[in-house]
Amino acid sequence: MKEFKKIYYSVLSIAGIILFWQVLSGFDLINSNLIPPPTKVYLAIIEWAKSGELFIDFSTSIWRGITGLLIGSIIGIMLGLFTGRNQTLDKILTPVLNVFKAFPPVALLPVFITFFGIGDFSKVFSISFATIFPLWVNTHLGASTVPAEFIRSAMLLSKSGVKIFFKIIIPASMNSIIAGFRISIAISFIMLYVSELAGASSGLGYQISSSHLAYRMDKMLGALIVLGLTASMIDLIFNKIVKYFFPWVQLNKII
Amino acid sequence: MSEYSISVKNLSVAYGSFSVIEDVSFDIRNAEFIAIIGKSGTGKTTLLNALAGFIKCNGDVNITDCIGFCFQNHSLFYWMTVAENIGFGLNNMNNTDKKHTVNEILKKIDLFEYGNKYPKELSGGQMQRVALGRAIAYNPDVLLLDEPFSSLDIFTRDQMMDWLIKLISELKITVVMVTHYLDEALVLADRIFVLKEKRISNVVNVPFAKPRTQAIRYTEQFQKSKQELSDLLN
Amino acid sequence: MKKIKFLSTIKYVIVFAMIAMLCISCVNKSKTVTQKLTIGIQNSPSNSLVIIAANKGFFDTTKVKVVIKEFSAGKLALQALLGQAGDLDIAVSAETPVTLSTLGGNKIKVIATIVNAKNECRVVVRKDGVLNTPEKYFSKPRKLATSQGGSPEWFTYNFIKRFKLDNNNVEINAMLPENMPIALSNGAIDAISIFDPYAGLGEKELGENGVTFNNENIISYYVLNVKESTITQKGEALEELMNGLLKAEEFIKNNAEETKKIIAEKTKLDIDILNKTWSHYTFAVMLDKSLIDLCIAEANWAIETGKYPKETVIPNFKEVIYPDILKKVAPTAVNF
Repeated sequence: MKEFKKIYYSVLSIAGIILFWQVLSGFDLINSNLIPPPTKVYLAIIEWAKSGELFIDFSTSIWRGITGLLIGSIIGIMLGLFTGRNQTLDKILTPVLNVFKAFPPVALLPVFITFFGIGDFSKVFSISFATIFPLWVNTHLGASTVPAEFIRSAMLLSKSGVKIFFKIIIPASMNSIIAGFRISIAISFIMLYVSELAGASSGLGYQISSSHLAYRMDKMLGALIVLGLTASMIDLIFNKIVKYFFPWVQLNKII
Repeated sequence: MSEYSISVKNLSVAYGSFSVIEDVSFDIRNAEFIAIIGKSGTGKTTLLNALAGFIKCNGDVNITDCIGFCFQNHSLFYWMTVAENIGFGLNNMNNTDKKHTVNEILKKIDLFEYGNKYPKELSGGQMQRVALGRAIAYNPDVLLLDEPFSSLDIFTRDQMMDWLIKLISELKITVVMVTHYLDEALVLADRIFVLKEKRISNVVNVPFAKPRTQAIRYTEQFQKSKQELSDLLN
Repeated sequence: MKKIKFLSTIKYVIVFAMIAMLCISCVNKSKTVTQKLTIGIQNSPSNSLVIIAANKGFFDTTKVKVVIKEFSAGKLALQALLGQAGDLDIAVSAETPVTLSTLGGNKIKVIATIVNAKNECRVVVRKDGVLNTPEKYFSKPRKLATSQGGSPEWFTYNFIKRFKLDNNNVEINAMLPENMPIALSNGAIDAISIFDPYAGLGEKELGENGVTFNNENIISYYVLNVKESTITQKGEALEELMNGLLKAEEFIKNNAEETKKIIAEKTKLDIDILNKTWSHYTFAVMLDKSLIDLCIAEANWAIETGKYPKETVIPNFKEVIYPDILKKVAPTAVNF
C-alpha cells in the first residue's frame, strides 16, 4: 500500500507539471520555440524512437555511463578503504588525492582527448575520473569512523584480519559508501553529457547537443527527459539492489 | 593447570601524562565471578579494556587468549542477523556444527525464533542477550562484561540478572563484570573489587551463598552489605 | 508703483522663459540619445569588418554605441540573440545556423551579409601514404570531426557528396572547434572538417604529415541577424552600424596589411596562417539572391539528413531577408 501511494504521488506530481507546462504553452506564456509544449516533445521522442536512433543513443550512453561509474566506484571505494584504515597510506595518498579532487573534470576533457582520443575509452575514463572522488571521500569517512567496539569485538571473535576487513569494516562503512555511490551516479550522468560533447557520433548527450544546434528544441528536451529518466531509473534500480543485498542500510536517511 | 584464570601484577594505564590506573594487582580463580565497582571516571572500563588487551598498559597481565567481551551498548553487528552475530566467532567449524552451536546458544538465550532477525528488530534486553550469546558461543575461558545492563530499564535489568545467574551457573566460567549498581555486584559476584583513586582500595568477599536469587535483595543482611559498600565508595 | 510692479513681473517672465527654453533644449538634446547596440561575433577573420570598424572608431557616432561580445562560434551568438535574456541586438553567424533556426520556427531577420568565404571550410587529414585524394583517403574507415549545427557540417555533407564517398567510411564526430587541432595531431581523429582558424591550426600542427582537401564550390556567408523588434526600436542605430561597416569595407580594401596585423592581434591567430587564408575572404556589406538559394539548399539538407522530419515545410527565406536598412545607406549593395 505504501509503495502504491508513493508511485501514485510521483505520477500525480509529474502529471501536474506536464499539465502546467501545456497550459503555459497553450496560452503563449512561454516562447514555444525555446520551450516547445509537451505534446511536441512527445512527438519528437516518437520520431526519434521510430528512426532507431533512440535505442542506439540510449544503449551507447548507458554502457559508457555504467562502465565509467563502476570502474570509478571500485577505485574510489578501494582508495577510501585504504586511506580510511591505514594511517601510512592515508598520509601518502590523501594529499595527492585532494589535489586531483579539486580538478574540475570538465576542464580536463581536452587533456583526456590528448591522451586517449575521442573514443569510448576516453569517455569512460573521464566518467571514471569524476566518480572516484565522491566515493573516496565517503568511503574514507565510513571506514575511518567504524566504532572501535566493532573492531574490538571482531578481534576477539576472529584472528583473521581479512575476515574482519570484509565482514566488519566494509559492512560498517556501507552507509557512507552507498551515500557516495548515489552522488557518483548523478556525477556520472553529468560527465557523460559533457564527454559526449567532446567528440561523439551517438549517445544521449550527443543527441541533446546536436538537436540544440539544429534548433530542434523539441528533440533536445525529449533527449533531456530521456537522460533524466535514465538517471532516475538507475538510481531506483540501485536502491532496490541495496535493499536486497544490504537490508540494514538506511536508504531513507541518504538523500 | 593454574587455579587462576587471571593474574595481574602492578598494572598501570596512562593516556599520555594522565594516569588512569596505578599499580593494580589481583588474582582471579577459575569460575570466579568478580564485580568491579567504583564511581564514574575511576577507571573501571579502562581496567576491563586493559585485561582484554584493547589498550596498552604497563605491568603483567596473564589472561587466556580465549576471551568473551560484552560491551555496554551490546555492539551487535547491525548488518548481520542474530544467528550470524552469534556464529561470527565460530571459526574452524563446518557449517553443520556451526548451525548446531548457534541453535544451542539461541536456546540458551531464549531467542530461538529470532535467529533470522536483525538487531534493529529486537528490544534492548534481547540485544544484550544476543551480545552475551555471541560472547559465550565459542566457549571462552573468561567473560568480561562492561556494565551489561546499564542501558536497560529497571524491570528488564532485573529480568536480565535472573537470566545471567542461570546462565553463569550452567557455564561455570570466570567472569569479570564492571558495574555501578551495588545490587548487581552483591547478587552476582563472589568478590567485589572497589576501585577508588586509580587503585583497588578494597576487596570485599560477598557473604551470600550460591545459588542466589534476587530475593536476597530484600534481606537485612543484603541491605547492610550494600551500605558498607556504599561507605567504601565514599 | 504700478510701473515697478510691471517691470518686476516682466523680469520674472523673462527669467522663467529662459529657464523653460533651457529645459526644452535639454529635452531636445536628449531626444538625439545614443542608442546602444550589442553585437555578438565569433572572434575570427570572418568578422574582420566588425573588428576593423570597432578598432578604427567607425562605429563612434552620436547616434550609436556599439558593444561587441565575443563567442567561440557564430551559432552561439545566434542562440544568445534568440534567448529570452535579451543580451544581444545583433548576432553575426554563418548562414547555416540561420537556416536551421528558421526551420525551427524562430523569427529572425537578416539585414546584410558582411563576408563571403570560399574554402573557409576545408578537410585536413593525417597523411596516409599515397592516399592523397579524398576518394582514396576515405576508401577505408576514418574518423572525421566537424562542428555541428553550422557551416562545417554543411560543408562536410557536400564534401562527401561531391567526392561520392561511402558514408560507412566516414564516421562523423561532433567536436568543439578549439579541440580539433590537438585531436588531429595526436591521432584521436583522422580528419577535421572546419573553418579557419582551426583548419589552419590543424594544418600547422600536422605540417608535412597533413593533407588538405578543398571544396571550392562551397561558399559560406556571414550574416547580420536581428530580431524584428530591434529593427522597429533601433532602426537608426542599425543604419549607423551599417555605415560603420561600409567604412570598414573601404579600409580593408585599401589597407590589407594593416588589417591583417589588427586581425592577427585581435584573434591571436598566427600571421602566417592569416596570410595564407586571406584570399578566401571577400569582405563586402551586401545582400544577394544567392543567399536565399543557399538557405533553401541547406534546408533540404537538414530534412534529408533527418534533422527535421520529412513533412517539414521549407520556409520562405525571402521573408527572412530585410533589405531596407542596407538599401537606405547603400542601395547598390542590395542585389535581389
